[in-house]
This record gives sequence, structure tokens and C-alpha cells, in this order.
Amino acid sequence: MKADEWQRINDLFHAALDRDPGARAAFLAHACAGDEDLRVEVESLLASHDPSDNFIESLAPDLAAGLLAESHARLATGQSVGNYRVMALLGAGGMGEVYLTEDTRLGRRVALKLLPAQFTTEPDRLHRFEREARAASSLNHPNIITIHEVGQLEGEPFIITEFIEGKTLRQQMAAATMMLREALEVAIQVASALEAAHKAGIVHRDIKPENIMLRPDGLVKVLDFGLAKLTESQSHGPGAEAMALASVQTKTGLVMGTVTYMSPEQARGLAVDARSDIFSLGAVIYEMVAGRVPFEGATTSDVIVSILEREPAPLSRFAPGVPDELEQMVKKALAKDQEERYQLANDLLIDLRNLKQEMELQAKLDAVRPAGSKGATPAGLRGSVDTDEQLTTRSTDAEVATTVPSAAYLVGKIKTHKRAVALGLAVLMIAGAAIIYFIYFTRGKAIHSIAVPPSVNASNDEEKKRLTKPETENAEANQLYKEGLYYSRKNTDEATLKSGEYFKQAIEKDPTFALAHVELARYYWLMAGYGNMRPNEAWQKAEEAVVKALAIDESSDAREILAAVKMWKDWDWSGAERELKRAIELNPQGDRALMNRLLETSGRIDEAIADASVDWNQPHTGSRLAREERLPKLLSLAGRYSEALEGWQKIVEKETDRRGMAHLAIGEIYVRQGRYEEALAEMLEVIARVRYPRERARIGYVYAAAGKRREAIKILEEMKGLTGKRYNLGTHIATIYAALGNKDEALAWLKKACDEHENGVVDLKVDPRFDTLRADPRFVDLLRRVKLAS
Amino acid sequence: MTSPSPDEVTQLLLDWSNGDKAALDRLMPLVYEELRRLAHHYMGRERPGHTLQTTAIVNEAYLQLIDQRNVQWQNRAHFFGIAAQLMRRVLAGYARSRHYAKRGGGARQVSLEEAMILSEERAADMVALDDALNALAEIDERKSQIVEMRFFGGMSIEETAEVLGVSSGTVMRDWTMAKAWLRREIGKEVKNES
Repeated sequence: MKADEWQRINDLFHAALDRDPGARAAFLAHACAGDEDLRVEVESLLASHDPSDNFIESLAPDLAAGLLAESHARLATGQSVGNYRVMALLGAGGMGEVYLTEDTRLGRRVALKLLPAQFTTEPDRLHRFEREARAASSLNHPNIITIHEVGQLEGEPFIITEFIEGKTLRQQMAAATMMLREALEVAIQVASALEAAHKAGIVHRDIKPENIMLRPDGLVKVLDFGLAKLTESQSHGPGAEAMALASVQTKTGLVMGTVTYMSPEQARGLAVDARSDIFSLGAVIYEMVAGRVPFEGATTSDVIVSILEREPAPLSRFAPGVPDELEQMVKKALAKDQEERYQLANDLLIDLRNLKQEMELQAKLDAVRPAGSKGATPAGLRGSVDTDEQLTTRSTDAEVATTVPSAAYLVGKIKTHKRAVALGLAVLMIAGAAIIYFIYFTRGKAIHSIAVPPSVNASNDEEKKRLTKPETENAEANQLYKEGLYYSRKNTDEATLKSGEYFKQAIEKDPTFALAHVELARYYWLMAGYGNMRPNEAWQKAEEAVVKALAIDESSDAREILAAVKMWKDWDWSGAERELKRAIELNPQGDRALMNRLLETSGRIDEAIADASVDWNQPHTGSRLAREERLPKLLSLAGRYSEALEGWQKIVEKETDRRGMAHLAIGEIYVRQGRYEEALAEMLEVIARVRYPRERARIGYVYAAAGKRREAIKILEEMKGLTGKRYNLGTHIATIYAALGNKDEALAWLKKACDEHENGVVDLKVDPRFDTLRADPRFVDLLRRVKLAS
Repeated sequence: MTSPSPDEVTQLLLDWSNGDKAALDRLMPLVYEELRRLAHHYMGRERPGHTLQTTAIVNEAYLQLIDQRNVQWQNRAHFFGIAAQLMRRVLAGYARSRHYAKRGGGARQVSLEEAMILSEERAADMVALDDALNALAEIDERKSQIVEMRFFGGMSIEETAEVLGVSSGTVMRDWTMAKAWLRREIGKEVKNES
């Protein structure tokens, strides 16, 4: 708003107020002289004016004083601490306050923990803490919070950590009773954090529900490694540490309660080691399962006495049906004598994992059996799949026994329809590849079975061996591998980058871990695709990794990635097809997207459409080409635009994060049809949704083709500026030049893209964006070079 | 935090009054800490149910922190302006973190006393008011300052006029208009959310 406009509103507002309420409307109508906007503005302000009410008259000032008096916050909102600007107080406790702050240099949100001032009186101690906190953070473990900085603000120590959106375990427990499964998952992740820290010689010393954060995606983070060192008493003696802690709490006037999770040796002020953390974790597990703490008492001293003297009541008293194994584990973790406890967090971790696996299996088995029959183990199941309905399953028993490799588990579902019962059985291979049988029963007799993969029927041992992908014996390697998978399936740039590190570490722990090599190869494939690495280099590494994987063990996934290497690195189309056929042989239910892509790039569009029209199995939709996008893409290449538009429209309506892509594809089809205005309208939907430069580059092409030259050139320049950081933009830059009519530049960029083996060049033969270049001999040369023309 | 000397604080206040922006950044935390200390102190002495007087606390803080011999009345007004700004941050920051915690983002633990001071509903109102005040400052900074001083700082029309160097009549008129404007803005926001 312009200043004079605002002044005029002010003047009229006051002039109108000076008049009788009844005369105001007429006055304004006259004074505004036809300026409707002005009249409406002043009218609405007058309507909001109420001289009799007490809106913002009395409320705040004394409230503020009251809040100040209650506040534990030493930092005010808006205040800056170095490069960090305070946004809100997140919480306060005996160990200081936690603020949400913005790192003004990096523009990211981080948490700032301001420690109580009394800790600074002993600089040695502070340094020790700092060393330990950094050491824990540098372990780079997914379950340990990352520390960005440790500093001092006018003598008061503070820590900057990653900001974790989520709840503390304390809040989670207060909000709802935890399921046994959830409790186990939390326990496993905390144990995993402890295991890593203990190995590096770091003891946490203050494991409690307040120090465990649960993210909405299920990842658990342990906070404050090393922090407890600060409260530790210099002189050891009975109760010294507990008393020191209690005194800290008294001073800050906060609720007592941390002694609750202390080990006996810690409560007595004796030296503590890793086993003390195991005790504390035991107490946390106890509370998650039982809904109450193991050692209670009205005062700090009572709790300490309870820790030192009493045995906690069995979990089963509060949580009927708790597995006996868990009861034993908690008991062992809470042993008063350190020697009788778990000696290593890893031992507890292994027990917890085993229990979890057992429970998951049990849950799947329960699904195969109707309610009422329970208690069977996998081995038991093989002998009897009888249900309450007295299905005779002897014949299938025999079949299962002969066709299932020994390390497979049987799971499934029963559906009842009139008199027929459908029993869907899935045989889960140990490494997760699923082979599905559907066997239909009527009462007493199996009448039909379908979808029995031929390879399962093969009886020779070699074939069976191929079906079982070898996992690693190394628990650490396995954990790292799983963490990597979690990130690689998230399908974001950042997460993918992270996944590679995990796979590399997993391989370091176990160089014979074939699956980790496979996933590392896939990671390089993605790196090339996202343009995060030079494609030449990425494909080289992908090839190395997949060759290693195949040397250890042949798997469908490895064959598939080798096919990708042949496609993008070697431009060896028949070789790629051979590998893909072998991959499908190895796992007929595997992902077929790559075969489809191969058909597409070699110009066999009709074949590709036929292939995409049957239902594929898609194990990892995240990182792979989604089938539902394949079909519309192929249809548009075939010139079947209305069908293609329909397909993309469906994706738009689903409102997923692929919506931007669908709008982009729709816009590109409109360009083909010469519907430029509509194409540009689609781009408005795309702009807000693009995530990657290559997507933005495609907008540039649409702009150029639709005649928005200036906008197209702007994007073009942007893309050229990015070529040193992103390695998948050359082909896109060429398409923009082609659409702008600059053939020479377009071909020069394409040649460069071929030199660098950029991923996009495999589409030279079919991509209609190159149509204006096709007649040029230089383009024909390039087509020959990528072996897509003879 | 180490206690600052009155000389130091007074000098910072003078520097800031003379246009040194960096002085304000140093000054704010010092004033905040003193206000907090005094609020704690008075709270302990008040009878239950008795509310604390912000103006009394700000006055007290001024006397504690500033060397009276070296300042003029304008500096006092500036000091009150700082206090008002801090009070706004305290309230708005607090309200935001409650609002934030309610939406499941953070790990805010609200003590019983705090919850009694500011209800959920009031916290939401406070956030809306703070946003609206920011918007008002874009159009008319003085009006926004007047609301800050009057509403958050508990300052009288005269005191506010003193700080801003305008007449009481102007403050009155701005205050009336600002209230109408804010009411309308907050009303809009509520409608948009529902």
C-alpha cells in the first residue's frame, strides 16, 4: 500500500468516527467520491471499531510478567546466539533448556540446548563432556543424535544438535499405552545406539524416556550422550552421584525423577561402565511394557533404596501375555550385580532382535490360522495346516515340503467365500523374495492351484540355492544395510546420498555380503540418474559393485543392475536384454520396469505397451520406474495422446508427490498437439512442485516450444550454470536449444552428453524433443554412436 | 549470566539511543535477564492470586540497571520501549511454542502454572495478534510500536507519546485505528482457518 493511500484511509476513518454513527455511511459515500476500494476499506475498519470492548486493553502486560516469573527460559524468543536465532522454547529440565533455533547461515532449523551455568565452574569437566559428546556424534549412527556445535554464550555452555521432530518416549508413553511390538522396536534401536557408543568407549549414563526421541517415521534417536558426565560428582562415595543430581534438580526447581533409571552402582556413586546403561535401558523397557517404573518410591532416597534392595515385580503382572523371553531379558538387564547383567549391549540387542523376529513370524502365522488355534511354530505348521473348519491339507503339506527350500517360511491368509475357502499361501524366502501360491480349497479338498513359479518346482539343489539370497552373519553389517535400504527407498536426493554410505560401511563390515554390493551398485545407478555424480564415474563404480555381487552370488537384482550397466554405460542393447531375461528367469515375480524401458529406448514401443499393460509386481516402487507412469508415457510416444492424457490425469487426481511429474508430461503432450496455451497453463502447476533441476529443464523445453522464449532462455542459463554440479542436464539443455531453433548448440550439447555417457542419451532414438534434429547428419552420427542406429 | 554493571548497561542504552543498532542486540538479553529475575523475585512475595504488575517490574529493572545521573528522560522512554518489545517476545514466543506443541511438532513440556497463565485458546489468539502486528508494522510501523508499548509494555498514553516523540492526541488516534485494524485482521484470519 502506498503511504498516501494509507494516510487517506486514516483521515477518513477518524473523520467518520467524529460523526454520528448514522451519518457515517453518507459521509463516506461522498468523501470517497466513487473510489469503492477506499470506501470498503474504511467501512470495514469502522465495523471493527468498538469503543466499549476491551480488545487488547488489559490482558497482556501482567500475563507477560507472570510468564516471566514462571519461565525457565534464559533466552528470549528472537534473541540471537552467535549464528542461531531463538524461535521457541521446546522444553526445560534439570539439564537446562532446549530451544528451537534457526541457523541463520545455513537457513536450517536446529535445536539449541543451553546448559545450567553451574557446570561452567569446572572447565575440565566441560571439556571432557565436549569430547565425549563429539565422539558419540561422530559415530554417525542413525540412532544417535547429531551434534553440530558445542559453544559458550557468555560463559554458559550450549550445544547445537539436529532438530528432531517427534515426541520423547516420555510423551509417547503418557499419550498411549505402547504395544509390545512398538516397545521392542524402540528398545532395539536404543540398544543399537548403545552398542555403537560402548564400542567407542562412551557410556551414556542417563538413559531415560526423556532422552529418547521417536520420530514419526519410526526412527529412534538417543539424545545427550556424555551430558551426564557434567553432573557426576568428583568425589565418589555412597549416593554421591544421586545426591549431586538431586541437588541440581532442586536448584532449578524441577521435578525429581532421574534417579529412577539409575543403576545400583550409579546410585551408590561408584564407578560406572557400559553395563550401567544396560541397566537403565532395562528400566526403560520395563516401563514401556508394564506402564510403570520398576523401582518406585515417594522420595529420591526411597527410589534409591528400591533400586539397591528390591526386585521389581514381574512384567506379567502388569502386562499379561508378555513373552517369557522378554521377562527374562529385562530381569537380566536389571540384575543388581553388574556381573550377572548382560555384559554387552550387543548381547541384549541380539536377544531383542530374535524376539522381534519370532513375534513377527508368529503374527504372520496367526494370520494363516483362524482365531482360536494358536501356538504353532513354523515347523509345526508344516505338519498341520488344519483349521477349525477341518480342512484336510495333507496333499498340500506334501507339496510344500518338497518344493520349499529349507529356509523358507510359510505364511498366508484364509478367505471364506460361501462354501469355498481360499487359502493364499506365500512362501517367504529368508532374504525377502516372495513366491506366491494360491491354492483353492473346497471343504476337504484342494481343487486348484495357480501361479506356482516353475523354478520352485525344480528339485535340484543348485536352483534352490539361487533363490535364497545370502544374508550376512554379521549383525552390524546387516543393520547398516537395512539403514541404507531405508534411505534408498525414500527416493529423495539427500536420502539416496546417505544410503550409499551405509552400503559401503556394510560392505566394510562384511565384504562377502552380496546384497550390500547389489544395493551399492543400485546406489551408483541412482547417482548417475539424479546427476549427482559424473555418469562415467558412477557407471564404472556400479559395474564394479555388481560384478563383485555376482562373484559372490547370482541374484535377479544383480542381473538387473548389470543390465542397467549395459544399457547406460556400454549402450549394449542386446547384452542388456540377455541380462534382463536371466533376471526374470531367476525371479519371475521381479521388477520388469527395466525390461520395459529397454523396449522403449530401442523403439519397440508397441511391444513395450503390451508389456506395460499386464500387471507387474513392483517390489520397490520408490526407487524404480513406477508402472502406472510407464503406460501413459509409452502411449504418448506412440502418438496415442488422448489415452496418454487420461493416464496422466489419473495420476494428477491421486494427489501424490508424483503430481508435478504428471502435469509436466501433460504439458509436453499438449506441445506435441500444438495446444501451447494449455501447455503453459500446466507449467504453472509444475513450477511449485519441481524438485530437481532436470525437471525444471523440462519446463524450459515446454516454454521454448510454446514460444515463451525469454522464460526458456532464463531456465536455459540456469541449467548451464548447474552443469558443474549436476551431471544429467546436457540432454535437457540440448532439447531447449532445439526448441529455440539453435541446432548447432543443441547438437554440441548432445555430443558432450554422449561423451559423458549422460543417462538421457539412451532416449535419442525415441524422444520427440529431438525430432527437429533427426535429419541432421551429426545427429545420425550420434545415434550410431549410442548404437541405436546401424 | 554474569551480572552487568549499571555503567555498562547505561552506556549501551545511550549508544542505542544515538543510533547504534548493535548496542540493542547486547542490551536486549541483559534487560530480559533482569526482568526475569525481578519477576521471579516479586512472584515469590506476592500473595496467591495476586497478579504481577509488569509496569512495576519494568520500573524496578530500570532503576536497577541504569545509572540515573547519566541519562535523560528520552533514554528512560527507550528503555521502556525495549521492555515492551521483550514482553511481546515472551508472550508471543510462549504462545507459539504452545501452538506448535499442540500441532504435534515439538517436545514442549508445559508446567501447570504456565498452562494456567495462558489457556490454549488465548495462546492461539496471541499468535494471531503477533502475526497481525507484524503485518501492521509493514504498513505503519508507529502504530505497531504503539500497540507493542501499550499492550505488551503496559505503558500509558503519555509514556508512549514520550518514547515516540509525538503528542498524546496522536497516540490516542493511532491506538484507536490500530485496534480497529488488528481486530479486522484477526477476524479475517479466524475466518480463513475455519
